[in-house]
Amino acid sequence: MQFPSRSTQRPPRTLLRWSAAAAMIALACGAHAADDVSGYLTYGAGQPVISSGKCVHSLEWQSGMQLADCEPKPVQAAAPQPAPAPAPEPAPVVEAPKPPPAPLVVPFRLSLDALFDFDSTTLKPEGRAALDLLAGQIADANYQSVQIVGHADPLGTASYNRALSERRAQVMAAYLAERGVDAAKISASGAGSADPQITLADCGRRPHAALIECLQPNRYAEVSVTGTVQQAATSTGDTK
Amino acid sequence: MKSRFAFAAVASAALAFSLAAGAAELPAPQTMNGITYLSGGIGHKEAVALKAEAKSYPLALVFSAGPRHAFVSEVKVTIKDKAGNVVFDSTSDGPLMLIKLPAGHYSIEAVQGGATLHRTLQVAVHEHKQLAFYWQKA
Repeated sequence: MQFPSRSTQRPPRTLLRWSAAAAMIALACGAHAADDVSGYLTYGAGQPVISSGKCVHSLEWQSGMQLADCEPKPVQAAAPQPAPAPAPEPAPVVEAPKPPPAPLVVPFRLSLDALFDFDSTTLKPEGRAALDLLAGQIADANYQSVQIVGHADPLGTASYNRALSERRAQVMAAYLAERGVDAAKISASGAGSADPQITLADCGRRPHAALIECLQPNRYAEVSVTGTVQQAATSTGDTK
Repeated sequence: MKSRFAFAAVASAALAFSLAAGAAELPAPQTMNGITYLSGGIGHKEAVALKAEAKSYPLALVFSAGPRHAFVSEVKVTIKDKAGNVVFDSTSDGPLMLIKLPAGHYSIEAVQGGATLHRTLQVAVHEHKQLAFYWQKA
């Protein structure tokens, strides 16, 4: 699938962080959700969720936080404490200084288990609620494009998983369009099971239901929003 | 009395809704050389809906592969008539295809992952046939 050609009269300047929504989605998908540890989404065992080579930040993330190798090395190189301190109360800090000048898109990740039942392409009620939230945030931004890429777990065949992940991305796109996001700016595609977060080998031998649960991190969608924000609407939210 | 009527109304409304919901699970019909077909089966509901619909089509194709006979998609299907003319040529949108083939003798070629399978088939009027294509390698 082709991404819409970006008619760049003006390049996007500001990156959008949908971390507040991401944290709420994580809550919405309950026990299966990636945990939220000291500013990072993790797989429960403290292993950070990586997306496009970057750790996925949670709501509490603030400049200066660090987990494993998530951020570029801090200036004070000798940090003998590898384990991060328990989540400090997010101080009501006013905005971080300056956004980076280079255009950057931070992907917003949704657990597909929060949106769809297993092997289903129909949005669950809580999935619709999650997308309502996302649609609202996109609407608040001066967005230029919304790219949705679905991912599937490695169960089944590659071609089926490509089709399933693409169909789910299309269902999400159609729903976002229904909720007011400009359909012409949305693209939807499916990556199938090509880029697993957790492999079958990682999960090992276990009963089918447990295997499906173990493979949950592979069933996700990345929503990348490129655009400019009129005002930094970084809600240091109290979603908990 | 009144409450019974109300119940009946609710029940019939619920039935109408579920029928509509069932229909919505079917992929949209397509046409190729005047032949109507449905292609899909992505997600459990759509597969169930297509299997229920199969009876009203002369030919149903099912594609699977691998040790667990898992569904495959993106199968290139070419159907030739007895004279060798290509009458149908399409890539599936899922593991199932329902095709309104007119009565006749056909040969079918299905390609998935670079591997080609061949079948021949006789379609008679008012008959329904299902052909399963299975590839060892998923």
